[in-house]
Amino acid sequence: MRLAGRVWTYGDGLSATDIVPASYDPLSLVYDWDGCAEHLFEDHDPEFGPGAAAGDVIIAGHALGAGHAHYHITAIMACRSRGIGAILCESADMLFQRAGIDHGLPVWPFTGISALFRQGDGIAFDLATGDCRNTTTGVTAQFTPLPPLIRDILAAGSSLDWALARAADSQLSPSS
Amino acid sequence: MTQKILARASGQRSVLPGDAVLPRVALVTCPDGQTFIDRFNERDLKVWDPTRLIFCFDHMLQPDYMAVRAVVEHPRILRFAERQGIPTDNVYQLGRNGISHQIPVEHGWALPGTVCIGLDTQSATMGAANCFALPALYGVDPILITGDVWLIAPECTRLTLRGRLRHGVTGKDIVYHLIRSLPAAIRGRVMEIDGPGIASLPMDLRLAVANGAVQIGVMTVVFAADAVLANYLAGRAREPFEPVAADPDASYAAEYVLDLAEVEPLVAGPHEIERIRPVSAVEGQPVNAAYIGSCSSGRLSDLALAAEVLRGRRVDPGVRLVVTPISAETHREAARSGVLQDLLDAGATVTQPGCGACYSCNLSPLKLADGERCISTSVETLRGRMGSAEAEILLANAAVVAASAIEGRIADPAPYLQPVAEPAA
Repeated sequence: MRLAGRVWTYGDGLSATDIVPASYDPLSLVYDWDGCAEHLFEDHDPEFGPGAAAGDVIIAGHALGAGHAHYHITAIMACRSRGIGAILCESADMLFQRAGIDHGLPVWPFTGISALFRQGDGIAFDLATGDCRNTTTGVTAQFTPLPPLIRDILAAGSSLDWALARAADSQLSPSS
Repeated sequence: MTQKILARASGQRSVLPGDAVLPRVALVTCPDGQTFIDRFNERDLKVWDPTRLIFCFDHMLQPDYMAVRAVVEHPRILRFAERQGIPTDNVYQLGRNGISHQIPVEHGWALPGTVCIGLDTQSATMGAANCFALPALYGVDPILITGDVWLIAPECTRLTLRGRLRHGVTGKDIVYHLIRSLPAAIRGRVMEIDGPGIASLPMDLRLAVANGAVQIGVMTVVFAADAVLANYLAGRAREPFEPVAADPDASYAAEYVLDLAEVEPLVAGPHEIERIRPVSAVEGQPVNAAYIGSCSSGRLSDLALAAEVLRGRRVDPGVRLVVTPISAETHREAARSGVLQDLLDAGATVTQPGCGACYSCNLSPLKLADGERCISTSVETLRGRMGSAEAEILLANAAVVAASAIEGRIADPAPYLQPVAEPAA
């Protein structure tokens, strides 16, 4: 649950189709997430494609995930495929946030986080304790940690894996 | 109301905004473009309660490149239902079908005071029935395994309705009025709707308002329960239910009031739903196509409103008007009431029920070509949504679409509507 990498900052209203342009929707219809990942921020920020590394963190402003929910999964899975550590923000569309948590990518609002980081800064953030540090400036901040339920889902890798583990524990299902 | 529903379904005394909760779900409803069957088959997973999963054939997806095209998807759903022990009654195939968040209300699955999950984006529609309705999209698998859903309890806003709509103004217009007038702060919250004005809103209109949750930007919509809902559910509800009401001192993150009499017919688009104007601002723009249908506005009241405008008139020969009833039941009611005859006599093409032309990959004869403009009652105005990315989609209520189909250009329906005696104030 520890994030460590470089930060990519974006402002308010970062939409799923800013993250992966809608023109690549046909790739998502056949679940080609690696293919989608090759086009991350292609129109919105051409620097991202060549520059982003596994573990990097996206920090947006308010209204992250604006726009039609059909495109949410594409943005989330493309980021996962690329190894992005988390998408943090001031506020997020609930359905976009759900898509992230369901698929094991932390998408979470932390009030004030966008003011802590500038493009390219380093981040070290323990989501379980809320301890956050800008490793470039040395500035630290304490945020409310993620609820245990959400940490459990993320630790399992996805809500499906989490549900399977719960079902196995309670002998509800599956049959095999 | 939201906090009471979530507390009840989670087995907790109370739930506050920000709490992580695991409420039990009463229903999962899926369109025919599902996402989970292959995974369930491959891993031999079992649905937690086969009696609480329903399938509604609505999109009827056509293009060969789609993994869930109808010719493959429909038989796959039937085989899955048989394998899982899902009752045949739960699979709404042709003859009983309709849109996946209309069927649960129409057939008494989505009941007051419960948590209902829909796979489709617009599933908040069910909130018209005083339930907490959540679109789960690609996150439906764990819900089907455990029968509960993880949630961060949302903040709630209250919308108090007063007055009544003028004739020719619909739930769709309320949605566009709210997109225009509510602040960005409502995003992600639940919108609870009550007040003296709801008594004048039939279920069709409430469903159209709740359907707009995604476009308004709220997580979902919960309508208060009242006599209109109780009458609607009489004979439909599939099990006993207990409605929820807001406490008199319930606290909200924000409160708004809407006088329904202030709502006027509005037009949204092209390309961006936030581009909303009165009909007069776009009046006279030529149209090539007109569509009445979708989960926003394919209900009997929409079809009847269009029929009122079209009765005894003809669609402009340069316009193709396509009508898609939201469900088989609506289709039958439209036939029984004479609405269908009026539409057909005017020159409309009426298709099989479902989502229709709203999405270009669905089975529908209405596809837009380069440079065309369509006036539509459907949900989205995005480029390419109904065909060519070089076409324009403008969204409006069924009366505006019908009037525009007659004139071959965007038209104010007022001259075509029957005069209605306004009730005394």
